[in-house]
Amino acid sequence: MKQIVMLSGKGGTGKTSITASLARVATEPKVIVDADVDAANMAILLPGDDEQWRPFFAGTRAVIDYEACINCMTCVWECPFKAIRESKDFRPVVDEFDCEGCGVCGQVCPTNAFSFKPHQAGTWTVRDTKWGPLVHAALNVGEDNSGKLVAQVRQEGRAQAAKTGADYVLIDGPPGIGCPVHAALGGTDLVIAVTEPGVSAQHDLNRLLDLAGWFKIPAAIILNKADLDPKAAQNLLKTAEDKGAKVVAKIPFMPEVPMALSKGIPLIEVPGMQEILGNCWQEIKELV
Amino acid sequence: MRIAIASGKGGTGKTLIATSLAVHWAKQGKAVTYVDADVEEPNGHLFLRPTFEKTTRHTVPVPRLAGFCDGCAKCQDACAFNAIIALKERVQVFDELCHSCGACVNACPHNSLKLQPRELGDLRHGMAKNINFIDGLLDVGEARATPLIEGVVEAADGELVIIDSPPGASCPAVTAIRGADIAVLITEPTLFGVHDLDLAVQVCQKLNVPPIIVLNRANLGGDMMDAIKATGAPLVAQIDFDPQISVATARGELAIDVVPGFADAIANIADAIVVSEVVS
Amino acid sequence: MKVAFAIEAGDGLNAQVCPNFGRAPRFLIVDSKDNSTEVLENKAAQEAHGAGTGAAAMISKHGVQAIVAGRFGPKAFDALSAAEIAMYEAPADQTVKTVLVQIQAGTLKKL
Repeated sequence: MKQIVMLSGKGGTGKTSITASLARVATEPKVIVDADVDAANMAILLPGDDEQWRPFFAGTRAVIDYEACINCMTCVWECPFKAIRESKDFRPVVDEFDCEGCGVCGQVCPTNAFSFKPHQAGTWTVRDTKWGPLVHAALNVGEDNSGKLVAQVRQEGRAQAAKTGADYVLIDGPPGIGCPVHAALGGTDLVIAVTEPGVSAQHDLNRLLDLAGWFKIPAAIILNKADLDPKAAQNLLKTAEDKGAKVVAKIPFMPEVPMALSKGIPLIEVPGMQEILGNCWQEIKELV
Repeated sequence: MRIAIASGKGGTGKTLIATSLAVHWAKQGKAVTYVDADVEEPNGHLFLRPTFEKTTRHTVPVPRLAGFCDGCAKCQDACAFNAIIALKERVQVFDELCHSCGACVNACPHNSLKLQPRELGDLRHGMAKNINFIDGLLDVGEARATPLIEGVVEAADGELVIIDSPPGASCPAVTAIRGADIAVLITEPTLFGVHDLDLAVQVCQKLNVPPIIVLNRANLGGDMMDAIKATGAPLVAQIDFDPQISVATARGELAIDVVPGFADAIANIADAIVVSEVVS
Repeated sequence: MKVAFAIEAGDGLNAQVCPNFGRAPRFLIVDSKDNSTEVLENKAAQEAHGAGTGAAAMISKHGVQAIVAGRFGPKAFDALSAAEIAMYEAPADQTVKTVLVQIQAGTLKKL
């Protein structure tokens, strides 16, 4: 079983659309994992039936035992996130949205009235799609993606692959290069960076390839909107060559693409895309 | 009035509309403050072209060892974020993971940990003609944007404050929208756009900030009216796609100054904001 | 010398090395004097953030001189370096026994 993770550093480079399209192009048995939970849009592109949603926990939230609380309001003053407020009936109340579970209230409380309960940050499930099982998650609003959630959906992805005898696990990774990306990279066989010409994308690509290098994972590149700025594209190709990343596809800018996406038509049905992405998938297979 | 211009999805035209509104109200002689809270990718300055008058370094407090340490690890046990580890006779702090809560400082039996400022980025003040301009610029490689967003939003003061918010529905967006009197959510008629709009509406509801919707590039893509209605927030204005707006924006020009008819579209949005604010 | 191994499951010298350090489910601590073992559940694997530093903190408390895992994240690397614990990367499917022999023979290189 080979694990391939799609990353981009910068948002808006077309990573999710391309990942979903590769999932449609590849005929081999596979599992798709949506670890880009900040913009978990894979499910929009890969319809199917979801199993029951399961809760996902991350961090803790403060809980006050009002039997023990003497309403001294020390916690209200000391909370670094202003997440404990005095209610109209003069009691301290924790705002779960603002609480980060840091534990300072528990430290300062004179009567030990605080405990910390696991915090449900979202839900996740497995969807049965025509192209294989899709593991995806939905964070509650205001929650950030975390390494733990990525680790959890990836673990389920591997379990699904073992169960269904899949050859590939295709992971749509989170943006950036922080903690969730580390969790998405670890133990994969290939990193594919989806990038586009431009200074911000160039900057992010550099950092992403360095990170892949740190984890000793081979990297490849899909250059999207390749013809939009030929000079910037040259710079990107130079970066790729310097860092030993193979370019597995160059996708031209086509006005039909945004039009198709706005109507919910998969990228793959845009004329010419089938061939480009078909070849791309062949190249990827050779690399792993 | 504090107005947050936000959206779930990136690239829907937040900065275009936020900067245009600032210009519109400034032309009417109002005292406007434009705040670019998208500190990871600030580009409001490319259009309003302010002269920066004051730049300060924004900091967050992080713990540093300033005294005796016997490696007792009480700080390590107190930290909920795994941001500090105890070694033999010292500690190591992982600044990126630190939430500046001070639990480790409280826990140290020798009172040896002190919170000290760590620089995150620039907080810049300036004037763009008669618009009061504020933005934040996160240092390259810095992972924690939220404290700088908080700093930028808190620095804004005045009768009419326009907050150009970061995209998404997680911490950065929440920080920028919190405390606003109204949120203007910019969306586009695509499946992704409306999916992410729904999340943005939920953020506003959690924060008790009334949301209104502006549909950009309304004539591109499919009919999303039912889905927009289902979010529960009112659609107050629509802007059609006009290649002239894209060209002006790509060149860093203010579309409101150079594209005929666009000023009227912005005036409509401005009126809708004022009416919605009065109603709510 | 006490060596810790990131492992997926099991509790003996036949356990397999886990590909990740920070989010490994458990650690097996082996005392090379008598090959006695001790299992340590990795509570940090359940943390939203900072699994690597959390696991490093736990390992350093147990007085081990070396740690083996498939790979180490950048922050875990910094934390373990600071704690002066030697790091070894080993293929994920190898057993603790095989890797231990390689370390003692000096054929597995330190990071």
